[in-house]
Amino acid sequence: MTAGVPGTGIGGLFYLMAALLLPVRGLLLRMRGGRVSWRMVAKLLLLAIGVFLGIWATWWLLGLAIVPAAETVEAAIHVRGILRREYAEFVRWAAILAGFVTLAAVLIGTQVARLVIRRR
Amino acid sequence: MEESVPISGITRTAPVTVIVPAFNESASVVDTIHSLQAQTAIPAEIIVVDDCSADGTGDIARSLGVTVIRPPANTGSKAGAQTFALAHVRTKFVIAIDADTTLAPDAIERLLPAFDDANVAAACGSVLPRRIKSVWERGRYVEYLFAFTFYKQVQDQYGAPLISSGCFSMYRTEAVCAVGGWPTRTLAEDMDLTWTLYQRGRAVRFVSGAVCYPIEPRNYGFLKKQLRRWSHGFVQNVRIHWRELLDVPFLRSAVAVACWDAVVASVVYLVLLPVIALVFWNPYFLLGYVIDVPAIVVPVIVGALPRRELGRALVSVPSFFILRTVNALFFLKAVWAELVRGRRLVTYEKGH
Repeated sequence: MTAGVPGTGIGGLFYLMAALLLPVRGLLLRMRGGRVSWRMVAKLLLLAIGVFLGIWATWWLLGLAIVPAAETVEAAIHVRGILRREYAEFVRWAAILAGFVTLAAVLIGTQVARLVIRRR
Repeated sequence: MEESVPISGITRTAPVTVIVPAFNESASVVDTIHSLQAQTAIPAEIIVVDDCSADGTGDIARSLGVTVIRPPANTGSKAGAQTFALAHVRTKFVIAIDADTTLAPDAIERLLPAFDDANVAAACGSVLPRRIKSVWERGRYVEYLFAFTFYKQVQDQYGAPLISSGCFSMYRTEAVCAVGGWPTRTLAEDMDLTWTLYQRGRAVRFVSGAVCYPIEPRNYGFLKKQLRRWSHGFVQNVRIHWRELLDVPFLRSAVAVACWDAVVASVVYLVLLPVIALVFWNPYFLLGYVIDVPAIVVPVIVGALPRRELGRALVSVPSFFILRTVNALFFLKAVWAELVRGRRLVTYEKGH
């Protein structure tokens, strides 16, 4: 069972970051004497790099889609020069940034909730 | 179905009792029992709980040489039937498996080593649809390939699989008895039990090589029942467990992210994208529905390649996007009904 819409939203980013951080976690665990399956860590790290490349491809596709979309938005609001080709780059970065900011906000929110609940 | 290579090559009896809850499952329970009897680690006992079936499920199971028990009245849920059987379990481990699910021949053997760690109370394996024909089965196939190749493996590395799947999981018997069996207070008893075990400080493991094959919904009617149960079950569990989950590292973050995506991403997916496309009368905005294809496809390819199912997986990818849209709709409806209108779904309806 997957909650909501797998792949979309911040879930993909969350698991991507978690997979990329696995080697760091493995090192910390090893230093504390824990057992680490480095083979599995390497496998998931490679997978995460593949997913990252997939997200980069998405980012590129987003740019392709933004240009024609921006032109119709310009026409619709009768304003020339606001949404131009160069803004595609801005929208690309804004989309990625929005994902990370949202993810950070949700994770920080969870920690804050934990602290508040514990204090009660 | 892909046949796994047995890891030991030696057939032995395992200290495991398998509980198969069954209500009118005469069409599928035979395959389930046969796959259990063909295990490289043979269960000490197989108990079919004939939950007052009217189609001869109990007689069919009995003819295959397994123990059949029947409660005095229908228990009303899978969890109820499983807990009814728990009193008959005498082994160290107990497996819960759906009556429409078959196992790879070495599935039980592969799960057992997870319990070498005395703190591990539950372990589950990978899930793949047994039949992959309809659009819903194909969508589910891609969803499972994606989730069990990527999400679930990451969860396991952080020591917190989100759920030990109800269709096939192994438990330490004392751990299940200690919490009173499978809880019936939500429609997702597997999630409820998994999260309860975490709260008691126990561990749960995911073993990707232990594969099971349930029958997934082949038409919209069955899919609707399954998604209603899953989505309402998720919301009910979050409602019950959220405070305690805050103390479980990684799981708290995974659940928070899942909640956010279930609500906000669903709204964007179902409402915002079409509204923007309509307002600006531009179909390019609808690319938002499939723009994450590359990120989805990578784990799917990695999961399908060792199974030599790349073609089948890639052909099934469009179905995943249809299923995902329907998924989003059901989760929003569940959130609305359970949290806003206060209407709990309590009727357990099995959708294959």
